Amino acid sequence: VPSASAEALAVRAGVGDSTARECFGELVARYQVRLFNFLLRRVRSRHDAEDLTQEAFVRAWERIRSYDPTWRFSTWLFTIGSRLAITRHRRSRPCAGSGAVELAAALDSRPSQAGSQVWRLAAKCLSDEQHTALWLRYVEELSIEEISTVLDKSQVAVRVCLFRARQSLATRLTDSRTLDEVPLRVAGAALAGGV
Amino acid sequence: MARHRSRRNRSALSSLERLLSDRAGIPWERPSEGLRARIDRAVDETSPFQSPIPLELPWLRSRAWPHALAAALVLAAAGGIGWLASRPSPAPRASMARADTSAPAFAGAPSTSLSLGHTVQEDRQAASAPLTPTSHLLPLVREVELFRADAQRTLGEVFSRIPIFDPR
Repeated sequence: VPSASAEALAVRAGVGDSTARECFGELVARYQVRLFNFLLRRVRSRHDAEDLTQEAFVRAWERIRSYDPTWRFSTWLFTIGSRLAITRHRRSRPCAGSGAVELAAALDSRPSQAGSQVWRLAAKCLSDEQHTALWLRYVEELSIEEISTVLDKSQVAVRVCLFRARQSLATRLTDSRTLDEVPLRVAGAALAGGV
Repeated sequence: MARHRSRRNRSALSSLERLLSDRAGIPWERPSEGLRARIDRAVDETSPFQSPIPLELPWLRSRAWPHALAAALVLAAAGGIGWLASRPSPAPRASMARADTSAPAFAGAPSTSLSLGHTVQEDRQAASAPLTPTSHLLPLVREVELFRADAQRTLGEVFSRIPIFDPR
């Protein structure tokens, strides 16, 4: 089980034999943190992200027989999580900005590496959708097609979203060299070094 | 000037891509310690293999649509044929009245009454008589009944193969 791919584990879990639960447990172990971090970028609240992570795994277990192994397991799982997040957002309508503050505060406690500061800035200044698309592209390394499936958008819309997110971040980071934001200077300086 | 700005922008974007792709700089957040136990507990409470009704409706999947379409076509065809069979057949042209030029000339008074109206007794007898097809229609009726029974059996088989009607 530990050496099998996620897709093979999901197929074996869907067969329903004696190892099904064990295979799914391995999938939970592998994807728990990744799904939680994706959902944290989506809903920006630790509490909501944990609830949604649990709910997404339960939903995935319920529907494991319908998993199509031609798709990556991560794409399938993130799609379930993303749809649950949308449903929850429609039901509750949380007050705007509170989640963003929570996520930014969590990221502020990180050491000031250039890469982590870029993500901190992304959490602050990008929209949820841009931030999530960026996360799926660079952290989860999903293709445009896969991101469009997870976010339920067209591939053109995903490309535009990513382009705008990068433009916005680059502009902010270039400008941050003139601002008084000390943590951002690290990333800004790294960017200037590239220039 | 514009070209210089464009080159600088492109360079800044490629540097940004490098920063974003830096795996060491990804700020992973750890979920709380109890999350794994919560997930395991919730997963153990549900089982995808004991549910009598599948949560994923199989007839909504694209693979089921050809079957559903075929069933609809068979149903429409059977309905059409049934409707055609139930319609009253038009009067056969061959039995329509024809002018008979070779009829013999009127020779005398007919032996039976020429009155067009029926008597009350005749009407009652006609109303109480069972409606039975005439002898030349019997084979046709039998054929229609056989066809109807055959169509019903075929429909039953088709429906039993469609997943939505599957009792499982």
